[in-house]
Amino acid sequence: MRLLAAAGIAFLLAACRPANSGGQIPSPLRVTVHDVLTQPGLVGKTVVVSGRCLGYSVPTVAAGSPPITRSDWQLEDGGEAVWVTGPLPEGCSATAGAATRTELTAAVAQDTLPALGGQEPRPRQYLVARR
Amino acid sequence: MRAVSWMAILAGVLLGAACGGGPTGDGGGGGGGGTPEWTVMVYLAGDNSLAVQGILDLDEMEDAGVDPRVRVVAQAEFSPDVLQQYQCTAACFNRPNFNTFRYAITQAGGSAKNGPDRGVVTDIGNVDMTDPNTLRAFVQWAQQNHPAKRYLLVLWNHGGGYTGLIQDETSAGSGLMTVDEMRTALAGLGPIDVIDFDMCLMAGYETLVKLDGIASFAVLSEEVVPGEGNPYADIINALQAAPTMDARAAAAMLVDRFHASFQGNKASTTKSAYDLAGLASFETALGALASDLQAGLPGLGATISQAAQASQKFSFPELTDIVNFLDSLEVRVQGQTALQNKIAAVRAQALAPSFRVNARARNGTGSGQQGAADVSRATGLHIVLPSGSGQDVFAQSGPQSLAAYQALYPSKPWTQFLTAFAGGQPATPVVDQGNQRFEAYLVWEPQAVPAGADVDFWVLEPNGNIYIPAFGSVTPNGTMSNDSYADGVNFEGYLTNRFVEQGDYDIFANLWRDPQNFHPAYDLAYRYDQTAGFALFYTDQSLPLPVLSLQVSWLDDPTPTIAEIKGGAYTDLQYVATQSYPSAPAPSLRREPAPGVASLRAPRALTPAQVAVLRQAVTAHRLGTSFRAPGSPRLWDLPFGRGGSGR
Repeated sequence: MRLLAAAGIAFLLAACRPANSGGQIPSPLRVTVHDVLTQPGLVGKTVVVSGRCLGYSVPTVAAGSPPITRSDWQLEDGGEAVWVTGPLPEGCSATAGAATRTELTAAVAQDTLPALGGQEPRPRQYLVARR
Repeated sequence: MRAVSWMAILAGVLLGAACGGGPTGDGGGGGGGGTPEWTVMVYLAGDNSLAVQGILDLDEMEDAGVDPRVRVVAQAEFSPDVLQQYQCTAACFNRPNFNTFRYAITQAGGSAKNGPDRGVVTDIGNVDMTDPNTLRAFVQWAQQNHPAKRYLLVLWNHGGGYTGLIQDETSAGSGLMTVDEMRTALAGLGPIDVIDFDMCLMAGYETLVKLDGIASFAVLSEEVVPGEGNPYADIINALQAAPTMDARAAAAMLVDRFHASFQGNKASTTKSAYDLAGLASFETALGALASDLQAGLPGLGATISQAAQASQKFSFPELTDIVNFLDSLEVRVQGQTALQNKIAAVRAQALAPSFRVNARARNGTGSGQQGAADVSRATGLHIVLPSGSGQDVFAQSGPQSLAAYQALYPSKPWTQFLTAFAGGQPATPVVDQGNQRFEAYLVWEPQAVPAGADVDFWVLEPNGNIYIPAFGSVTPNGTMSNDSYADGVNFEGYLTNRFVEQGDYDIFANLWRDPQNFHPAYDLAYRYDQTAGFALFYTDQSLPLPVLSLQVSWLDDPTPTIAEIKGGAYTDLQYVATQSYPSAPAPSLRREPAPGVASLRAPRALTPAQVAVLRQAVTAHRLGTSFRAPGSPRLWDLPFGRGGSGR
């Protein structure tokens, strides 16, 4: 029993190192802000994204309104930004962008931008950072 | 008589012109049916990230229809940059340009399209909505052109508590109006019956102080608010349905309508209403407590810090729910009768119906795992009280610094206490892990999951508190995984923050239940690089895998101690390893030898109260019921004593 248990756990952990499947330790995908914005296939996945935090009251780069709360913030990389809901990362304040890049582990979610002007409602990806 | 009347009219015109407004023939006045009961004045600052939400909120106001007894007026502007992302010109919101405009909704029929289309709109140029003179001029314009028996002023935009409110990207960049400027803007304007902050984080003692003598009632949110903000059609319809409701009833209604509108929403919400006539009594009690706390420093410092750290916090961590802090502090100063009486007096004033008119809080469906805050211990009003732990400290400079707070509230006893507490107490030493953060998971046999076994990861952090994923998703130093039992998986653990408190992090494995006596074996998977694979603590050292069972339970020991747990006294609660962060950045994961535990550091002991709470939690958990009564402290509110620094 004990040998089987040890073998089972060892196998489990060895198996989960390169992949992320149910019931195993998460191993998030590493993607870019551009990937999050343009790849709907990422919705529902946990990802690691790198960029610079922009607090909610610095000029808006990301598309549309903040997805969940009025204090959602933006993760900017290469002139593109994605909305992030959840706690601000260390070193980033509401009224000022972070001086350095941050690495964020978050889930990709999707909502719908409302119709405005001549534009139809359209899907938008954003990030959910865990508390 | 006639001459006096003409002089009065002329004076009114000149005053209005001087303030940038003046009668505009926009359907104002009493409407022929006598003075309206209410004028709702919405100061909608949408030249920022919230532009689209602002346009949709104007539509909601129009959808409420019109009633001569309830006037609705707004001053609004929207961000050209944000709307450009929609390939929108100002025509998208029914305007010829992006200038600021004043708008009185006078036509029934509901919103016809995005933006103002049910009344007279007046272009006032592109003004700075963060300028207190702009806010003042709007309220004066509304009071003069749309007089009513009672006024509800809504400030709509971003809010940051004591750090300021309202942003205008075009005119002021990221600068906010200060709370002092807000007071200046609204001082001496005559009665504002209710002021509602449709924005984040404003439900603070510090906001109420700035509204003293300005408004009768304040409606605010302790936590961040969902993008949708107020349900304007519901609120205006409620006023229309009972236009003679007084200010207290209106303030309570605003809270209830806001709360009801977000049932089932992902975002957590808080909203509360306060009668500013009760502020003086509250401040008196708070001042007395602040003086006692200050007098108790430095001896009380660690206790206050622990109590603050264990309290309900909000998106700005220094914002601390007052009543929850009092509860947290009270259990830590048992036996200090004078101090307990002061705590009780503040709590009584904070919760008195003559002060707190209404308060609602709900956890969103996205709480915890999906980014929404846990606000289950919010009671309506927060206060600035950084615990000194991790990021929960005053900033060195800027609007979140102690110096900024002292400048805003120079003569308050609470400021004097904060100065002594935060200025005199050394910050908790922290270690910067950079991107090499410690991450650890208990992992057990997968077959234990279908067998119904429930294993939990416990971590005893340097602050003396124990954290468990089943009871919350964050600790001061890290983020927990989901509860394994809830997710049906065979692991749980946590990822530490970049900055962590110096000290020892003891990891324990606990078997909550094991209905088939599976006796799960487990290991600890860990790493310091989030891009690397996991190491196995026991397997990699060729140590035998430990096994959990319910045979010898710590629950049967009336006086369990950490030393006994580490010594292997129980089969259902086992010491796994210790992650240490010494002052030098050389983190290490190790397992302390059982016999030497007590000699390595000051012994830690469980108090009878802690054991009682843990027993209650375990028993309830095994029965599948919630052990938390409303208002009761969480498990981790009760620290394990560490060398006399805890209870």
